[in-house]
Amino acid sequence: MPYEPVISKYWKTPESWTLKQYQSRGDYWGYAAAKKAITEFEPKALISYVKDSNLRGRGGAGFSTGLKWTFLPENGKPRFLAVNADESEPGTFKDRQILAYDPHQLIEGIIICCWAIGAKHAYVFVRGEFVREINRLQSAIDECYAAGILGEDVLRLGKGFKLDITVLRGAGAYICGEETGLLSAAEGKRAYPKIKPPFPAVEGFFRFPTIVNNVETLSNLPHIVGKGKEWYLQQGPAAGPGPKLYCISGHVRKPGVYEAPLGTKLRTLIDEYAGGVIGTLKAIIPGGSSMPIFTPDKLDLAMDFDTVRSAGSFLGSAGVIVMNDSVCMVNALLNLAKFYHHESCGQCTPCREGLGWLEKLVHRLEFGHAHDNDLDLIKEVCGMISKRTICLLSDSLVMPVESYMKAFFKEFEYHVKEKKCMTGGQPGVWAPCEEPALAR
Amino acid sequence: MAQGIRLTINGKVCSGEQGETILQVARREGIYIPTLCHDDRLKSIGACRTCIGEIAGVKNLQSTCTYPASDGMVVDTENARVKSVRKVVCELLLSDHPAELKPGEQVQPRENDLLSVCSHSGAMESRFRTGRTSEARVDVSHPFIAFDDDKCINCFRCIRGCNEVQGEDVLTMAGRGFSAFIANDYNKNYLDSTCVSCGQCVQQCPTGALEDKTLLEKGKWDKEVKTTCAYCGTGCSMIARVKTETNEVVSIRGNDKSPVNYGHLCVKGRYAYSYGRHKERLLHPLVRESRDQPFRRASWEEAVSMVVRNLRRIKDKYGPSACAGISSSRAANEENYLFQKFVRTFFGTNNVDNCSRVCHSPTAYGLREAYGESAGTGGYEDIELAKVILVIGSNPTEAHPILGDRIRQAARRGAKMIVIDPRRTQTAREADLHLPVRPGGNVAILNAMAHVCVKEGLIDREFIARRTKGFEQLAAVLEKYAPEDVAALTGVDPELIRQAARLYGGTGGQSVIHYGLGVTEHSHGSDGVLCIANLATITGNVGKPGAAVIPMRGQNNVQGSSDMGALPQTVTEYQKHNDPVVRELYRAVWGTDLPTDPGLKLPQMFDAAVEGKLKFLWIIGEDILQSDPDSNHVEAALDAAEFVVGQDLFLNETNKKAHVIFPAASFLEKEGTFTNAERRIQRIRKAVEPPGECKSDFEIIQQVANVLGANWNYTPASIVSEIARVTKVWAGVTFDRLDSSEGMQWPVWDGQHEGSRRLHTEKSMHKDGLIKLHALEYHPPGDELSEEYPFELTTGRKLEQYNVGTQTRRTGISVYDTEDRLEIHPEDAKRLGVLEDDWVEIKSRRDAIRLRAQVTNRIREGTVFTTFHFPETALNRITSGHHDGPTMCPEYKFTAVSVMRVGGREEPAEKHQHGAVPLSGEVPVESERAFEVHVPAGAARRQ
Repeated sequence: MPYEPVISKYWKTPESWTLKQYQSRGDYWGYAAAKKAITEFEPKALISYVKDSNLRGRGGAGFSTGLKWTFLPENGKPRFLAVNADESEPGTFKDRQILAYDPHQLIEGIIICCWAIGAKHAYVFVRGEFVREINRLQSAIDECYAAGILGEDVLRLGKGFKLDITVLRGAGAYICGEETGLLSAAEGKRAYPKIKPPFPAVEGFFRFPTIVNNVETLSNLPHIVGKGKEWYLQQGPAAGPGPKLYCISGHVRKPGVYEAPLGTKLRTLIDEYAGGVIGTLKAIIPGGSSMPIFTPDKLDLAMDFDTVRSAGSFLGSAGVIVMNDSVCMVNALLNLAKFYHHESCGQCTPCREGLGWLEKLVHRLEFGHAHDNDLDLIKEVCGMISKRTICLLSDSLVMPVESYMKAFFKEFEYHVKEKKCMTGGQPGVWAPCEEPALAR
Repeated sequence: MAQGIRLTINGKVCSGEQGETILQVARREGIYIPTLCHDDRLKSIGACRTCIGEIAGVKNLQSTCTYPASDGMVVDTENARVKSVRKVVCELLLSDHPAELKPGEQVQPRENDLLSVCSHSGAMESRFRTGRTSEARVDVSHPFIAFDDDKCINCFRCIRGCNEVQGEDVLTMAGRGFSAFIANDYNKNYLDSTCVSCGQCVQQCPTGALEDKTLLEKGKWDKEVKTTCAYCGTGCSMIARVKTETNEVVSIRGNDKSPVNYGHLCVKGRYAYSYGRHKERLLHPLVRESRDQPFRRASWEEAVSMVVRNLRRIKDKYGPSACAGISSSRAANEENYLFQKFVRTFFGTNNVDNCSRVCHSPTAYGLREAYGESAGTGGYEDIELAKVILVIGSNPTEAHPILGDRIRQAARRGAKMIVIDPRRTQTAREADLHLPVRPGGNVAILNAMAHVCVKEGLIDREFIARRTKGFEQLAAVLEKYAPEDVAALTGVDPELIRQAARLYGGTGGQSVIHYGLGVTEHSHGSDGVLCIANLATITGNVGKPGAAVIPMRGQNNVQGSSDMGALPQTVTEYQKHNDPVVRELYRAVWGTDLPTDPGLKLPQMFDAAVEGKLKFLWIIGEDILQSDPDSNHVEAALDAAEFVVGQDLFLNETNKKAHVIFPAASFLEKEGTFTNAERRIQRIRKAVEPPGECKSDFEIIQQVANVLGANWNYTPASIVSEIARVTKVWAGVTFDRLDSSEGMQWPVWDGQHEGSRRLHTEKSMHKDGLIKLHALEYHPPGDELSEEYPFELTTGRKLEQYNVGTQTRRTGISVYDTEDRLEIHPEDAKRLGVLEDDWVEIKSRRDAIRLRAQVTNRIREGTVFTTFHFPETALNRITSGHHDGPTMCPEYKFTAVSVMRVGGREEPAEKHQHGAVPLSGEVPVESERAFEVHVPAGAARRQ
């Protein structure tokens, strides 16, 4: 493969998560990039530099990171960085690799970000189930304090730059990955998303200006600073360039996390990286389970934020889920409906009640109890709950429901009329799948 | 100044202010937008999504309760798109609602926001009905509140009410998604939670999932009557819901519009009203010729003529000064006014006093001396405006719960809170600073704080120079009161006092003081009040927004009963009865001369009776034998009086000594006004007819007076006009004006004046307009500690009970509380070998009583505390007989006692030395038992 991985370059190296190994990599690695950022850039200049690199958020929305940083108000209030490491989207498993195999890369990104935005304290909110990852990250932070990289004088540069990093553990809820839900949870409350506006950059953590960035996003920063924005802009489409971690799962021969520049073709990812489809390809989710689904005709699509969006879906977290023709789409949808209904925080009526009803409706569809007008009812419920809530969780189910029904309408109709599966499978039972291969 | 904006809502051009939400503008303009999770008192969360609207230029529908209004905005909350979404939202909400509840029908006995919002949205039937779910949780453990999970729509209002209004944080949401549910702390039932039964959750509930049990049991109300709570002096405005068919109140809600309580009520105000229909209620006059006879039922004519006969006899035989009347802070202003007029006119003496003598008379005296007016200098609104709130000698969350909540909420929003109290009360626990002062150390600690303010330049010199007199003398005395020097007197770490003084004095005139009976009920209580006035004045904390001195009045009308002149030496508004100008004014209005004798104060009346000088005593609505100190002395006084008239709702310890008992009406059964601690005159209104032959105090007094030849034909409204003629600060008060407002804060100078939120803003109410500072020295308490009596006993109130419990003990509230306990510090308990629940004997120089111990660090070492709610305790047999000098307010808060263990957890054979106050033989009362005790269903004794 011609592409030389950047973020995942050292993941296979033994002890890659230690400070010693991190500092032995040479070039701009080992906190040289952070040092460069602090000594060569004023914070404002650094923000513009990152903005000019067109780095876009890797958490799902693909919003310009540098632009987000400029939203911080100049009101003299302390600012915070909250690192979103609550990776919970089904089909997404990239951030945990960074935490486990290269936590120093993330810490360096945090240092660069905090220097730019003027934060003295960063909180990393990690999904509670990531025990190994939390331990690796915490020991890396401890190493940094011991080495004078973090603390009263970051990297001992005498710039008066103080930075603390605190790791917070989630208690296991999908909604903690929503940025305001994450902040509520970090404040010690139930992870209820907050009304926007005000956006976190204006009023976030304990109502102080707060930037919430994803792990992978921050891990891009050392490379932008180290290799320069000119290099960065050449990695994929200029409107949203850079290395990207694609998580490929489902009916492929070699599921796993693969790094490739943004804009890599879907076909390349599936066939060349993930070893090809097992059986006959039926459907692809491009960006994590909440995104609208693609049929095989979209295989030649370039996987970057704008192209995927114009094709009717979203790159999201780049969690590519591949399904072959053994999958019943109603069954697959029921699985998602169960998940999103269970993860609804219960705050807004449309989501709390609506997702419950969507699950009920899909459930009776799958098990052959559908009423004649259920498909219309599903459509209507979707239309009524979508974008009517404080956060976007309800849309995370509405998007798949609408797109599955559109792309595979015949299957849904078959379930209503024939009361059984078109693929011949048992209702509610998943077709056997090959044991997933270990990550690359 | 907020910037004005104009926007269009549903086609109507509305004006609003920057920072308002769309809903706020719409509500003010009278545009209906349905809401379920919104309440004006709560922070909007935009969760129910029924208030959605389409905003031109904004892609998604937005919740109008959270979306800020802006200039030029065009909002539509009723177009087809919004309506269709709202309809589905309603259908979803109805999906698991009990199927028997249908929109358009008011099947609930109260308003049901959910069903009316559903009707408005056209969701008359849900396509998602599942009906009542089998696993639905129903919780009826609480004595007053029932919870039905099936009706719950997860709007969070009860939770937010519990947190943001009451501040108790009992309720929370548990689980998630469709199965999320409301949970109490410990996730058990209501009764076993830490719920304080304020009922805010019930008031918030838009669906009836949380409901008053009385409503469910007794059914629909058909009449709403706005009135004022008759428990503490906070003066919460409430709405009584009455079922006219059975002539009973079935539920009480807070009045959302009231600036006093904003719809909030405490457990007593909301739920402890059923005493009015208790089986022991007196329903007709009772009379007897002498104390060795049993009472017998009598007609009103007979009872009244018996009183008149004896009054004439005693007055003729011993002279007017052998007669006295004790008025009541529990009664209305009009009744107090009429009674003092009655005593002064027909007894011919100034021997009239009221029960505020034993609580806030030092306030009436002290604040008048300092500021020229016997009232709080500001209002409750100053709590929210203040940067620092100082609470002295008050346990507001239990004794004045609504004020307590307002103070704690203000503290949560960022105000600093200092508490000076021997007990670690709830406010003390949440305070920034808690100064556990020794009982009796108020003057020392307040002087020490003033000392620090002077020494550290925290005083407002300009204010002192321009507005006060007497500062030099004060400063000279304060020299001696460095916190270190008075450490032994205060028992408080000097550094804490310094910090408190810096906090209080450091706001630049934005600090309030709230004080209670812990300041006044001392042998130097007046000095304590004056020291508070000193401290507030020298730091410039008077008469400004967020700067005030506010006494926490113990009873509903403590302020009013004294304002109305039910005091021996003053007539209305504390005008001296021997002032020629005043006498002239009264002669013109009353047509008679005011008596000239000095008049007896309450404790003097007892002394006079014991000495044989006082023969005729008329007592309205006070159980002096239980509530006044040194009960043995009071008992001797009652026994010595030749003729005693009682006027009450129940037979109590005092009127068991009476010859005639008039059955009185409760506050729900009469018209009138109460004045609360912020001088707000508020109406009480007749919600139900008095039971049996009961009459209001007003009618009783007038009836007796007319037999004596008065020819009075007053109504409460006409009395107010008369009060207005003799009282400058009431000049503009009329029933009509009170009815059309949420009460008025006196002074109301004339018919146009709206009342006064603050006093002394430009000058004090003294003749010279200056505030008088008083140089006061510390004096030790009246009762002395000694080797034999080494503990300081102090007394107070519990949340669920009220004073001697005449009312609260006769309601379902008794579930929570059945006895008085002695709070004792663990170290003291260890030394004395006392364990939790052990029986202990407390002995003072006067008597001894027995109680069970509660070992707790809420109380400081060396001090013990108890309440006085239960007659069995007979606490006041042992309390100090000393009085405050100028006012004769008793020293309840300091009694030197010894504590001794007398028995284990099991009740000792000889429970009390006295038992209840011994009766002069059994007193059989042939009263009809018209009512049964109301025991709420499911009410179980809390362990």
